[in-house]
Amino acid sequence: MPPELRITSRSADDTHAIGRIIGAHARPGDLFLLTGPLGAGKTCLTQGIAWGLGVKGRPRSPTFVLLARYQGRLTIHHADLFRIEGTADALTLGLEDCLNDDDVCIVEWADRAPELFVEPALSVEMDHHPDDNDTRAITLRTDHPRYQPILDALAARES
Amino acid sequence: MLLAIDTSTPNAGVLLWDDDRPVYSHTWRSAYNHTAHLMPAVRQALQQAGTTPRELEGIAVALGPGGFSALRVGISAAKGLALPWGTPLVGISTLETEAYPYAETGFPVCPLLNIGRRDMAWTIYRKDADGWRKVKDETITANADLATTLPTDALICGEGTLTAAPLLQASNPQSHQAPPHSSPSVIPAPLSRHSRESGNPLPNPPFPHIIEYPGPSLRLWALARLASDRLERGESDDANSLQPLYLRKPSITPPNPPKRVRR
Repeated sequence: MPPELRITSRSADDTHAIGRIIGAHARPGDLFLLTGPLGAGKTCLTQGIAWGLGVKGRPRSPTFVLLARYQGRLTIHHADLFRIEGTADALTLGLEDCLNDDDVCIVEWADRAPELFVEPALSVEMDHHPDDNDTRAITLRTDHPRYQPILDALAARES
Repeated sequence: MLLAIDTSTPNAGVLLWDDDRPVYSHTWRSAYNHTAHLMPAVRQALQQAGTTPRELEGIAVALGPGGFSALRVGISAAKGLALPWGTPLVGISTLETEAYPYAETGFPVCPLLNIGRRDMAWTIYRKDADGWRKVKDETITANADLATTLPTDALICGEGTLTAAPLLQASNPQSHQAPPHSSPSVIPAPLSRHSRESGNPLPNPPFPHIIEYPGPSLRLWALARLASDRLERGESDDANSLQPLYLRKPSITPPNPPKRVRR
């Protein structure tokens, strides 16, 4: 059973703060796979991760350019597969340039091409709360111990 | 005059070749910015040499393997410069350009290039009685498996050694059984033809023999040299159909469904 952590965000600021914790603990070669419906906060979380990695400015979702790059403490590749139709389409993006030992890669709508990612990843599933408009349920899963410090830091925040 | 363009890796280069030798050579670290850096570098080179794209007699471009986007930049630029005036275009494998500087050693040469996703592309070239030729198909190996996969009787070279050398040296399973002088060692580059002529064999196979990475300018020279030789033989490539060498198998086809196990 892979480690799993369920946390709650009560606002966009909260999601930013969660992202900052992930970014602060991110290491070279990390891969974050973000899933969830429109408006669940994937881009919001990405902004927090980027800020936690020291990026200045406000990353936006690369829905149309498909791939954006930011420089913080590490180079961050930000991909958005929303407009991607299947794995074959995603292969034309050049994600192999992004998945390496030096950089951090964040992929929104990663479930559009699930076969594509064989590297150890931290999956972040985001969803609306059925009763509360501002609240998001966030589930983090990983099959690799390299992400344990991030899970620990997020768990500490919850308690 | 021949213009050579290499954007295979984070290290990019532009070289002008005239009268069978380089007359201008510039390499730089481009990381992810080949799009922004390449054409100003080409313009600078042409200005320096007092020439124009129209006057070029040939264009050489490195085909990879290497970075996905980086290769597209260099090959598109080369095509764009070749098509308007019908300038002959020659594409050369970047693995071959990494290997060629060591051709005269007479040893099998195994060039390595990073292709992302913690994978390495490699092959083997050799110069013997039949001339300089590739003696193995290009292969992709996960970095983690390099130590058990790469040949132990070849000179290992190329930009990929920056990643591979520490892995090979750390995990060559035989190294601890061998006398210190034959453990995997870094051979200074370029290994001269002298070592072969003086009859010095490689130190005790079966250990990897890694050539220290000499920077991107040697392979840029080799690109121009190999392309110039091809042009002289009257060979060139079709600018409309020339493609990067990505090597990845399912490059545009979806993965096969899992195979059923028959019982």
